[in-house]
Amino acid sequence: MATKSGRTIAHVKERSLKDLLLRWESLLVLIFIAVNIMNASFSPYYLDAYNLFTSINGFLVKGMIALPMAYILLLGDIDLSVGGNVCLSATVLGIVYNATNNIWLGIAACLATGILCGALNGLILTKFTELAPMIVTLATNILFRGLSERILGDGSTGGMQSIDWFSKLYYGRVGPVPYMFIVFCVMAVVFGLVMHKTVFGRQMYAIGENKRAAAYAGIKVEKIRMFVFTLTGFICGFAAVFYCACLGSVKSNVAEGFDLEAISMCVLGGISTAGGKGTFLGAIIAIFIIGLLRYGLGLINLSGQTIRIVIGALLIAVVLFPTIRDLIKNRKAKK
Amino acid sequence: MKNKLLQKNSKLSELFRSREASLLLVMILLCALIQWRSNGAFLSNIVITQLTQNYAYTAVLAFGMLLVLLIGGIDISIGAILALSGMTGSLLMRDGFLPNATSVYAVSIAVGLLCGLVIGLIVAKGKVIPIIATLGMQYIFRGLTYAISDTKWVSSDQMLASYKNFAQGSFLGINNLFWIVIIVFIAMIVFLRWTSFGRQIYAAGSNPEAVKISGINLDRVKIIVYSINGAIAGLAGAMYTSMYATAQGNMASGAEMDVIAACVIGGVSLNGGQGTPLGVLLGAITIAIISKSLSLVGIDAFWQQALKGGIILLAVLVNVLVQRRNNRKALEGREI
Amino acid sequence: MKKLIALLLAVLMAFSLVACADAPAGGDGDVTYAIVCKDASNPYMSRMVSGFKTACEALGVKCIEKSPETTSVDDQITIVNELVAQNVKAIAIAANDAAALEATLKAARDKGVAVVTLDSDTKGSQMFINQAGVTQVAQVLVDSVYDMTGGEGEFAVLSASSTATNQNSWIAAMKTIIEGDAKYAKLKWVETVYGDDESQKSTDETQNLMTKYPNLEVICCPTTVGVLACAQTVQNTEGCKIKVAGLGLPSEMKDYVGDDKVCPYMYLWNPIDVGSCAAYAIDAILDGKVGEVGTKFTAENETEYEVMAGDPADQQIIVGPPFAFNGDNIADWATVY
Repeated sequence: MATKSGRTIAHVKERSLKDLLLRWESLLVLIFIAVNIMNASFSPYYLDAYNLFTSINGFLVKGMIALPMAYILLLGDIDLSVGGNVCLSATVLGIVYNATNNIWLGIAACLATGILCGALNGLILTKFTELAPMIVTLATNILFRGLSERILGDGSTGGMQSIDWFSKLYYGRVGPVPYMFIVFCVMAVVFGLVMHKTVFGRQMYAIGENKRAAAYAGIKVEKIRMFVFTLTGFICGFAAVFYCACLGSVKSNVAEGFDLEAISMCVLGGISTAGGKGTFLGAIIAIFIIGLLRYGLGLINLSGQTIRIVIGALLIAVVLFPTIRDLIKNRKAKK
Repeated sequence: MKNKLLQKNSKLSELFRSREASLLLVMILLCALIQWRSNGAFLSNIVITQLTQNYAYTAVLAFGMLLVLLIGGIDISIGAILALSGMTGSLLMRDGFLPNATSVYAVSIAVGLLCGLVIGLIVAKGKVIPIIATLGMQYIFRGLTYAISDTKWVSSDQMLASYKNFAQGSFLGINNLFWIVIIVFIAMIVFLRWTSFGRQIYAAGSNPEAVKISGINLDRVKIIVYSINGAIAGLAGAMYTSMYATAQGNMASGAEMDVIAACVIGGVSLNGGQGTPLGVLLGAITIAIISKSLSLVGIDAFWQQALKGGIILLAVLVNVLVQRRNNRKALEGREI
Repeated sequence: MKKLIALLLAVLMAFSLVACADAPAGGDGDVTYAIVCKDASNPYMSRMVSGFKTACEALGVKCIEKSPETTSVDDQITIVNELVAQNVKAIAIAANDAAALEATLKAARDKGVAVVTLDSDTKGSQMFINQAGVTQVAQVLVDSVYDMTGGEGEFAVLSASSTATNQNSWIAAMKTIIEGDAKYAKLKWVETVYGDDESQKSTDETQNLMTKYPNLEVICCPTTVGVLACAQTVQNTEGCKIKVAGLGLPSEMKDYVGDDKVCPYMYLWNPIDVGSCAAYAIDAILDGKVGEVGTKFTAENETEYEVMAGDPADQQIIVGPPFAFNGDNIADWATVY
């Protein structure tokens, strides 16, 4: 604990926080532009609006989960159970829909499952504050996915795509723009405003920077953590609805690896896993950097493993950026 | 904050109150339950040999993770390091560059060490938070594993017989792979208890600010710890490929999660400074028992995963409750 | 600061240049067929790809190979979208889910892309290149169990993961066959376990089967990954008389197949042929040579295939019956695939 908070404070002292963030985002914007230029110049197919939006839709389910994940990381917590949560929620949607033949009941059950899963994480973590969120959510991830496996066995559940409007949630478009993209934008704006323009947002920053100090300042730390974990669960359920609309069939191995993917997006966006740092804009840009880079590299038919290496290298390069910059600054100062 | 540094000679009562003792109790209960449910099949010579052999590499990984967790770090790339180093060793063996089993092990350990060193440098010199650094490196290592193997496998007939036989052989009735676990375990105890560097590791985790002031080079500690962890993951890579007589690009993906769970169940704190090799060994055995026995006691295949998650969660919670009770007692004791 | 950004961009560009150099560009005007595998690290899949590639060369078209890293259907959807965006003429895909790709594949077909499935079928495909009929596979598996047990005794099945589509359909068909024929009445199917195609889990499950069922005679593994772990475990257990039956790649199973070994014989079809046949089927579809059920087309080596009704794909062809590998021929085939 002492390490993390100590280091954060040291950082703030070294240079003004605002300055740093400004530069981090400008770096991201530059990378974003570079990625787009690169993609467009290497593949003649990249700038086709329809196909571009198809590919964007492909990573927006993960992108949706990255939004509340940003809050979680901001608090200095982590949630590795989002993949399991999406899987279980989607399973429940399919099962309830097939049992009742009522899609609205299915959606309601799906959202409720998401909330319950999130609340379970929150409850354990706020009642046992000495537990690391990593290990708890690691275990609940296995638990959630396991429950889905128990429910589905070796089969799958599906059929929801036969409802036209439901499948349109994912596939429907206004012109070339998918509905889901619009939903995502609205969500991003709301999440961003809450994080930066409200008391709640500032309280989250305070908790992330120093939990104990925040508690002394009268912030209800555990209440907020509970809320954020439950919110994450809710968004997982919400994303699961779109995910179902996309797949139309759910097995117990869907949404594997969503957790690390969402965390990578946030981290690239400058939201530190140590808490208390980062802006929402960064996370949004990062979602698109990772997604579009994947798409571009996919268009020139790089193998999945090479793409993986490139994304990993990009992640490391970007998080190393502040240190390298300081190093160069210091060297100049010495001269 | 508990400081293991000062507890040079622990008293008997403290021993009973320790995390290890409570974990041992949980383990005995678990074993008894499984023994009963499996109609006495569990605690047999054969099953225990299978268990120690099949989970040896997980236990070895857990010791590396212990060091990393002790300094307040984490490494989620060990599964990928295992794959990369195991694959490198096996590929070189396939192509006839390595004459004997020892050299394959050496190459794997060297590759792992290199991977660990890179992570150590990024974490210490690059000041990157460990989970982020290892998240990124995990992508890179795993990608490299596929790249160097051209997504092919190394199969049993391409491996040296001595290499495969080593994993199946035994010495004094104990499987060779478990001997590696025992050796690493003893080495860890000696290293952490009786060397000044070992004590620096505990200090670095429990109070880094104080350590800085006292003149210990924190960066050096970090780099060495991540390198050791990498080397251990490399060793596990060789153990894995010799045990299963095959090297596949996706091997041990997700192993890090089992290993972290083993450490936490063994009483290692994710905040650093707390944890012992004995606890980790017990934690690793507990995880092995859970994974192995669920299907042995005839639990429905589709229940197993949910149950495993539930048991890990429960074990962690019980651990916390016991610890709370102990802390309270320790406080009461101090008031006298 | 500026220098640094420039450097970063340069690195990024360099990365992509290197990448671009060895990527087969699907430029305009070229006819390109694409093959999408189940995952990147399965040697069975890479044999299939090599057959597809060779056939593409023979047909004079370009070929793109793509695989998700894990057997995930999300990544396959992404990959299909990428291929459609590149205007490929046809996609052959080994589907990771029997239903979830439907919408994506339909969208591809609406854009004029020919879509066939191979290895694993899915809704939305025009034609399934069936490596061997489901009942055919199940029949040889049941028969090898029958033969190895000597007509009666206990056997178990070690499958891949519980979500593996092919394995699940074979297991279901095996059940139907055994229940439907009095000949198999004395076979006792004790349990079906899932090794998730992982060495550690497969080993655990195999050992647990031995412990739980002391009279177990045969373990049947309808997965090329699981059979390897199972055979290795049985071989390394002293005094274990269990026999291993199943589907396996000769090159990976060379050490374990033979009369005096744990696996007397095993089955598989030629994955290279499956891949090659997919390319020829696409060619025939695009040429309009096949349409109705009952029409025929010729593939490599003048082999003729007849189009049959498919489920869930519109149509299907069956490449050939499973082939038996035993101690006599395993060494030869190990060099092939």
